[in-house]
Order: sequence, then C-alpha cells, then structure tokens
Amino acid sequence: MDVSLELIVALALTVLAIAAAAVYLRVFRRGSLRRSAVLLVGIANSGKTVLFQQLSRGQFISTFTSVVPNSGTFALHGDKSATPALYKVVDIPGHDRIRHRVLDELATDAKGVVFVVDSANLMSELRTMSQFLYDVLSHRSLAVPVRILCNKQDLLTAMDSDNVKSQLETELNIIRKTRIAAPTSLDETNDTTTRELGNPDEPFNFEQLGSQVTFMEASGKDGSHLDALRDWIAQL
Amino acid sequence: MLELVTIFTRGGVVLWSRQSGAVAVSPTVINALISSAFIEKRAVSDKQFVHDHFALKWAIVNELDLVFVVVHQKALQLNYVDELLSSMATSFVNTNGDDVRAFAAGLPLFKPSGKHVVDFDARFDTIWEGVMQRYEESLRIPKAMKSFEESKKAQKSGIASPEPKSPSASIVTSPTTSQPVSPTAASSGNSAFAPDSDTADRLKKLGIQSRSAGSASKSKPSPSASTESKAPPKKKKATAWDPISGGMMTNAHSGPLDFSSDKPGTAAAAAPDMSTYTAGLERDSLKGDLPDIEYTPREQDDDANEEETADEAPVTSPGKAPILATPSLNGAAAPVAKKAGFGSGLLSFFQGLSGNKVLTAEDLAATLEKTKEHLINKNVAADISEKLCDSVRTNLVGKTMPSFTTITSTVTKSLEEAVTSILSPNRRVDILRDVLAKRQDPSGRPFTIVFCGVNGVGKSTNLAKICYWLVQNDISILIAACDTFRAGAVEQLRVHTRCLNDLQRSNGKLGPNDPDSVMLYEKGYGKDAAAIAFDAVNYGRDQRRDVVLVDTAGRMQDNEPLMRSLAKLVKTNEPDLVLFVGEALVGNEAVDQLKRFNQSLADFSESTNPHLIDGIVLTKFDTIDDKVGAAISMTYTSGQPIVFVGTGQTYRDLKKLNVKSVVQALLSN
Ligand SMILES: Nc1nc2c(ncn2[C@@H]2O[C@H](COP(=O)(O)OP(=O)(O)OP(=O)(O)O)[C@@H](O)[C@H]2O)c(=O)[nH]1
Ligand SMILES: [Mg+2]
Repeated sequence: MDVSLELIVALALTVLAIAAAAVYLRVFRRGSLRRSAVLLVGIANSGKTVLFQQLSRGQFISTFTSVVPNSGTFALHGDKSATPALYKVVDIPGHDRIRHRVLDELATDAKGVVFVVDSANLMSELRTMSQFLYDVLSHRSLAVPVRILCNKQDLLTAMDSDNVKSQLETELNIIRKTRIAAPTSLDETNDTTTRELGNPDEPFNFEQLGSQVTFMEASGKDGSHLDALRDWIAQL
Repeated sequence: MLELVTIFTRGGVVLWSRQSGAVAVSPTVINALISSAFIEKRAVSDKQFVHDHFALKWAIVNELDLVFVVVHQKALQLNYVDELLSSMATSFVNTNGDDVRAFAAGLPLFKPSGKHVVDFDARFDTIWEGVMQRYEESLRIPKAMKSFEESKKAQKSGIASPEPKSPSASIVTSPTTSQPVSPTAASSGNSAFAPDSDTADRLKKLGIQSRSAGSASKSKPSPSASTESKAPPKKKKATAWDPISGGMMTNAHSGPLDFSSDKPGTAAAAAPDMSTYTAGLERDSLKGDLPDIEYTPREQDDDANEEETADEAPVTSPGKAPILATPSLNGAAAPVAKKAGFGSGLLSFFQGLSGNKVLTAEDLAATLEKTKEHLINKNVAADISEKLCDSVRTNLVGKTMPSFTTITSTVTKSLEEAVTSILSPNRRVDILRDVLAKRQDPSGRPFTIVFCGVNGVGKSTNLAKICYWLVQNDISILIAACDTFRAGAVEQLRVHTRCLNDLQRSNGKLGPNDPDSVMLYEKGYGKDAAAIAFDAVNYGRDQRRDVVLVDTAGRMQDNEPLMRSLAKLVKTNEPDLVLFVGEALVGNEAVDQLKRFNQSLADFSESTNPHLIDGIVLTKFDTIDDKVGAAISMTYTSGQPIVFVGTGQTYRDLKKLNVKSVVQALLSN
C-alpha cells in the first residue's frame, strides 16, 4: 500500500519533471535560435550610454565610464504606435579592457549592431576605432546589419557622415593588410574574428560588404535624428 | 573642502551629484578612478585614489551596482569622508533601492529636467550636517589633553562610527573604514584632526552652499586651529604602473660594473649553430603565415581531478552534493557550513537554487582561499593572486547570487572577468600599422624598438624572430648591437643578420644587388650603449631603414649602474616602443623585475614624464604547459599588454597572445 503510493508519487514527479524540462528546453531553444538584442558598441566615450538613455527615456543624463553593460527591454522612447513593440537594447562598455569580452559574450544574441563614433574626435581616435570596427565587421558571430552612428553632431567640430565613412575606409584598408600579416595567435580556435573583410583585390570600401553597413548622423546630447535610429531598430 | 560628491551606477549613469568647488571637476577625474580601481582592479596603495590635485574616496554597493564617490583637494586630510560615504550609501540604499532597481531594468524613471535622476538633495544635507556636527564635537576635545588613548576613544564615539545601520546594505568602502586617525599621525602633532585652521568653516560653506544657512552659526573656532598643519610634503608623482606598493629601490647590489656576473656567455653559445633557428623552415615556404601551435590544456586529467577535489556540487547535479554534517536544515546549518567550506551548505545550496542568496565575505572566504592556491599553483605571483582574490571579494560581497549557480561558479565567473580584463590590452596593439605610419613621418626617423630584460630570457633570439616577421612583411631593419657587455652578443646578432638576409635571397624577395633586408650596427664591446643606439638611429635614418631594433645587455633589476644606463639609453633615444622581454617560467620574481625596471626608468631618467615599459614579450611559452601565471603577473604589474609570445627556437615561433586561451588554461584544473 505504502509502496504503491510512493511509486505513484514518484511517477507523478517524474512526469512533472519531464514536462518541465520539455517546456524549459523549448523556451531555451527558441531563445537561442532567435537573435533578440540590439547592441550599442564603440570605443570609450563615444556616447553609447547617453544614447541608451535617449532610447529608453528620451532624456540626456550625464555619465561616466561604464564598467558593466546597461541593458533593458523596453518600448523605444517616442514610438507613437498604439501598442509599441518591446526591444532588447544593450550598451556595451567601450573601455579597451572590457569591450571585446562583453561583445563576445553577447554576439550570438545580436540581431543588429549600432557602432557609435565620436565624430568630433574622429582623427585622434581613428586607428583605435577602426581596429574595433574591423573586429566587429569580421566577427564570426556578427553577420548582422551594422549602423554606424556618427554621434555628437551638436558639436561644431563634428565631421559629417560622408567624411567619417571615407576616413574609416582608408584606415580599414590599411588594417586589412596589417591584420593578415600579424603573427598567428596561440590558439586560433579561440579567435573570434576570422572572416576576411571585403574584396582584397580592391581598396576597401563599405559597398564591398553589400548593404550590411549603413551610416547616420545623430546627437545623443540634444536627441536630434534619433527617430532615424528608432526606425532602423524597428525594421531589423 | 569637498569638490564633488556623486552617486552613479556601474553602468556609468549618474544618479545624483553635487558639485561644490568653485571649478567643476572634470569627468575625466572620476573616469580615471573607474578605470584604475574598477576595471584594472588596482588596489590603491594609500587607500585613496589621487588624480591631478584631487583625492578620491569611494564606497560601492554591489547589491545595486552603485558607486559613491567623494572628491576633495588632495592637500586636505578629511577624516569624516568615510563616515559620509557610508551614511550616504545606507540612506540611499534604504530609500531609493527600488528606484535604482527599476532604473537598471530600463523602466522609465523620468528625472524632472534640470534635476537629478534620484532626488537625494534633502537627505544629503541632513547627513552632511550630522557628519559635520560629530566632526566638530571631536574638534572640541582640547588638543593638549588628548592622549593617545583618549583620541582613540574620540574616534570610536564620534567620527569613526561608520557602522551602517542597515543590515541590508553591504557597503565596501575604499579604505579600511573606521580608522581615520593613525596613532602616528596623532602623536606626531600632525593630527589628522587638525586640518588647516578654517577648513571646518570652509567646509560648511562649500560642502553645502545653499542649505546650510542655519548650521553655519554653529561653527566654532576649533581649539586645534593653532596647530596649522601644512599640506603634506609634495610626493613624487605616483607612478600608475605600480599597483602594489611604493616599491622603493634597495640597491643590494651596486658594486662596480661586473661583466663576469652575467650568465655564462661564452663565444660558443654566442655564435649558435644556425640550424637551431632555421629548423623546420623550408626554404621555399617562408612568406606565409606562422603556423598555429597546439594548445591543449590537459582536459582528461582535469576531469579526474575535479571529481576528486570537488567539494561543492554543481547545483545541476544535486546527487553529488556532499551531505552536510548536520541533518538540520535550519539556522544550525550556517555555522557548520561555514566551517566545512560554506558553499557546501545545504542552505546556501537551496538559496542558490532560488537565487536569493546574498553573498557575504564569510561565504566567499574558503572558496577564495582555494582560488588563491589554485592561482599560485598556476605560477601567478603570490601577492598578485592575493590581490586578484581581493578584487573578486570586493566585487561579489553584497551581490545576490544568480539562480542555478554555486559560490564556486560565481567566484570563477568573476575571476574570469577580472583576469580577462587584466590580459586585454589597454590600448590598440598593431606594431605593423605604427611602422607604416612612421614611414610617412617627415623626420625620416625609423620606428625604434628597445628590448630590455634580465639575463638569459631570450632577448636576442626573440629580437631576431620579430625581425624575421617584420622582414617577411617588407619592412627594412637595422639591428643596433647595444649589448656591449656579454661576450659573443654582437657575434650572435651578426649571425642572425646574415642568416635572415640569406633567407630573403633564397626566397627571391631580394635580388643579388638589392640592399640587405637586415643591417647590423655595431661598435664592439665596452662602449656606452646609449651612444651606440643614438648613432644607430641616425645611421638607420640615413639608410632609410623602417625599423631599428635595439638589443641591450641583460641586467638584473637590482644592478643600479646597469639600470641607470638603461634609463639613459631610453631617455636619449626616445624609442617608439620599450619592450620588456621576460620568460613565462618566472614566478614571484616577475613582479619584482617589472616593478624595478619601471621604477628605474622613472627614477633615473630625471624626467617628469619618463618613458616606461610599453609592452611585454613573453618567451619560452612552450615550456610551461598550462602554468600561464607569469602572463597575469606581468600584465597586472605593468598594466601593459603582452605584444608577442615566443614559443620555441625557430624564427617562426612567434605568436600573439590569445587572451581566451590563457584564461582557459589559468582556470583549468
Ligand atoms: N556634445 C555631445 N556630447 C556627448 C554626446 N553624447 C555623449 N556625449 C558626452 O560624451 C561623454 C561620453 O558619453 P557616454 O555615453 O558616457 O559614452 P560611452 O560610449 O558610454 O563611454 P564608455 O562607457 O566609456 O564606453 C559624456 O561626457 C557625454 O555627456 C553628444 O551627442 N554630444
Ligand atoms: Mg558607457
């Protein structure tokens, strides 16, 4: 009597566990198959955290260097539709020592990348930001649309997007050669960047990547042109 | 006077701040603190962070990922800052915790325009007044009467009572709290309670400009005002690369220049059989990329080890959970668990499952102790292992453990992040790119790299490998033979030079009449290395060389005359890169070597902005299996990246570091 009761309980528990596992796996599998996040990336001080606040709250908030990502799932500020869709947005810290690790962790979940550029400080940071852009564009797990956002357009010294584009192209063209020539790494199975960039027989330009990369101008400070960013995110 | 008080998230969002100095504190001051203390994980030696003329103190609340920072003039010694910080943190966490959580989740928490995200003004004023009141009371104790014992009592009762009242907030302050006055300071008459005469008044005014009208009248001339303590003597500018201590030079060995004390450098060893270097190089396949080396952390062994040593079951397989000594599930479990290594406690096990376990220092102690041993076994220098574990503790205390994790896995994750940050370069590393840029330089000066290090680590060999790699990429080289000490050093370079040129010719890259890809500049032995390097760079410019590689004599870090001469070489030649060559076998010594090389470059250069080590060449990496600790010790100590890794004797055995692989090897059992 006791024994059979225990048996029934045990059986019931087993069935329950299997059902729970099945549900869990489904959810899990689906989650891992569908990329869900929009990543804000770029080198330090380009304005990612300010943009994140603009997207979620529509406000400028002062910031310091980010140590951990800011992330949230929210309706984009300014979305006028009756039932605004929710978007997962992650602001990845730009510090040299952090950005690659966090990007690698999140890359498989990315459905789009906003690469933020400080247009007012372009020339002094050109090599550093181009190296990182190269890493993003040639990342194994990041064959997704990339929007290069030429930020800080409120400043007089800001470069326009055409200029930013051609400067980046020139620098990427050089980096492409030095990257191939660099010593191989200790363990290539752990390299995240493998794909070659563009057509090696011609000087690099973004058109070689098809329509993967597009440009826009904006300012996180005064919030101008951010509707274009919202539209881009919405169509991903 | 306080310049700035600010509260922000680790994500970088400012929730509240008050600027009180006349001139706004630039965000770069706070960013420097963030970079140094929270990203590079450098413990700050004198318990505060100094940047420009500011001193910064901080408290962190991991529970909410918050940082509280107070900035003041570094000339001032303010003893109430710790109390201020912990009172602020306690109040903020208790009252605004939910706001902050909502904010972090991206929920709208609109700040009224022109205001802060969190309204903390009124409460800050109250806290400030309380802190000031206690501070003044402490000043009223007549100085003459204040024996050491009494002053200690005063600290206890008055100023130094930062005990947070809320048990919910785990506040980690930067300095060891509650010891604001050191006995020495008090007895030496330079009492920390005696800042310059009118500081208290000024603080009143400046700390809170508008709201303290009522309290301003309370300020009384302090009895200790007469003992005007001057600003502490200007310290030498702290060198950012020395995270561990002041690291004073002790010149244990400063005898006359001693040629014979160098490693046995016989002529035979100096002119090695070149087959060692060219082994495995087929003459017709030289241009291609360097082959990958197999890097396999021994996984089978690891699994075996894990089963033997696992003292804490992963939550996903509860069957493995060691049975607790006591069958009781309630309170009694805690102390027992602590003894047995806390994480094994059933209680924390279930708390871990449900994801509501808040980590305490006690919870972490045993795991961190084991982690430290693990790191030391991996050849990480002992004090760096200690510091890494400290930084993990600082990061985790007060954090809620995520669901389905164990303390071990939480600690491992945090350590992995810390170590990855330390190994990741703090700046762009692309030497080839920089060489190409230097070609455009109107001065025509070649890109100059100085190689330095202790004896026998493979300076010349790895210089030759780097030379080979550059030559493969059509860069023309001049090697400057500035090791004028060790017999055979110059001949060794001559052999390399000839060999590399031969390879280029047989390779078809050089015609019979083309100038050599690699040239050697040498002036024999015993001469001044700095002068030879100087002439070499000029010669290199005349010969339109792209790169000058400067080989220097190996020197022990405590050999002052030799260290002086290195500093002179670097100072007179202003190289583009100073690379420290160190072997991966080195253990605790790594820290001392790098610290002293940097210290010497700083001290003996007699320059306010000395050129320190820019990067590391880690040699003999093929001999260390998974004991990769030296990579951590060196990058942590210098703050500089590992630019190349040497993995063998042939020209091709030059790799670049893969951070992930090193971290994996470090964490593997
Ligand atoms: N003038 C102007 N300043 C901006 C703009 N966007 C951001 N800033 C400022 O630039 C600085 C950096 O902005 P953040 O958003 O913190 O930059 P970040 O990219 O998140 O930087 P990390 O966290 O270090 O990666 C802050 O001082 C901002 O106030 C902009 O559009 N115009
Ligand atoms: Mg940021």
